[in-house]
Amino acid sequence: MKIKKTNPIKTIVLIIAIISSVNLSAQTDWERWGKKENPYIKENKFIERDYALKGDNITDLTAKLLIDGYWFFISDLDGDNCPFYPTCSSFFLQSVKKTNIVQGALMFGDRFMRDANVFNRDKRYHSYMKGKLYDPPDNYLIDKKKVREPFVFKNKEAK
Amino acid sequence: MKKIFLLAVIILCGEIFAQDASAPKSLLTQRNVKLFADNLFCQRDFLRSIAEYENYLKYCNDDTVKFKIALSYSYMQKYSEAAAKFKLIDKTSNYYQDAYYEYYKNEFLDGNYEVFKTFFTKDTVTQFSDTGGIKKLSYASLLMQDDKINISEKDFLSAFNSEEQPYAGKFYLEKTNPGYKKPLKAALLSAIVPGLGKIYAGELGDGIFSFTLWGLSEYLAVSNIKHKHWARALIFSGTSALFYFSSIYGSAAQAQIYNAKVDFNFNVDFKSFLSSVNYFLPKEPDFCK
Repeated sequence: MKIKKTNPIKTIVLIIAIISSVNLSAQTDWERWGKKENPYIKENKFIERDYALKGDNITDLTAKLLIDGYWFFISDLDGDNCPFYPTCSSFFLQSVKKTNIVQGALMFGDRFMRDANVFNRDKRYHSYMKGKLYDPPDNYLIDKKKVREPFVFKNKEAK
Repeated sequence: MKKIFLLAVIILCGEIFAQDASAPKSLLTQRNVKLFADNLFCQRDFLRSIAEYENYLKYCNDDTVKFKIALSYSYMQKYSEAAAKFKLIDKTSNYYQDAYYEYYKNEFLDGNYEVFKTFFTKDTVTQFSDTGGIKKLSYASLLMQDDKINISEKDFLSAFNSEEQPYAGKFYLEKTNPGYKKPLKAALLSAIVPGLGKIYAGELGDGIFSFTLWGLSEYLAVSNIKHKHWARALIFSGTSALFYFSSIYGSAAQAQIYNAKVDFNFNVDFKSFLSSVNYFLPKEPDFCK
């Protein structure tokens, strides 16, 4: 019996044609079954370091000028040394923005003294970005409703 | 010619039997959508299950599905949305009673305690025999509010059965006698001795460091005044004053933090107790057995 030789190129072309014909019209409607965007992602409301000289009033502007000067001439050269988030300078700035220059200065003075206490920090504060201790000015507005829960939760004693 | 014909037949076969873009439409039967949504629901992928259930509801009016959507919101801790969805369950539905209980549970979890006001009257009558749970929940809501409790312990405990009364009594006492620290007292103590108010507010370390820093700057100020180094004296006097007044302010703030901690811990304990008794309500139907 005579076996007819087939051209391998023809065979390959034939196979490619078959496969591609299926692939071209295969199911493309992946989108429907894919993951959807989660609309419940919380916004990051924390204020990052911003050198822009802006403020709602003269005290805000003065405080900003002071802190910008400190950042530019001292902090940036000295490095990232403050163990807290926000840093003491940012804490001062945020305190002044949230209250006034006098209360802001008192809040800063209090923070400065707390900064000196190196004991039991990990039990009092939550760890934030890069291991910083989370200590927002909201906690020190003498209003227990504004105290942020994570700070308090960390203090909860095991029962 | 034969080869071309054969090739054409093979390619056409591929075309005919291939799963093309229109094919999934045939899969999207109402039954399949519901099955898929049920699967997502049981996998606790509630966000996507809601989307699929909503699709399904475009074609069918199904109370079970509506209930599951509400339950999904509840499981996602979107309590206000859940309560709104539970409220939409029709009175003729088999799930109406469950939805009724779930509605109040979600309103409670959402902190909307106004809805429980009607349950404080002793003659409260609703369409369900088992309304004791909601009445208990309404009394429990009193402990979750910032206002002072206006009812006596006896009246409060009367809403609960003998097994629950010891717990309810404990939480009632904690709420009425929370053991707050007084910010004014903390501030006055720090005015007398800087840092003493912080110790009173529970921060011994902060109190000691406040006193030390103030004392150090005060010593440096006095020392520089004695030696007539006026510039340094001015700097350290200013620092000392800042530490002194900051200590007073910080003590008051620390007392409020302590109070917030008391409130928070109470809420955590009370909510975990309520969760353990399923908010005094019947358990929601389990659709994933």
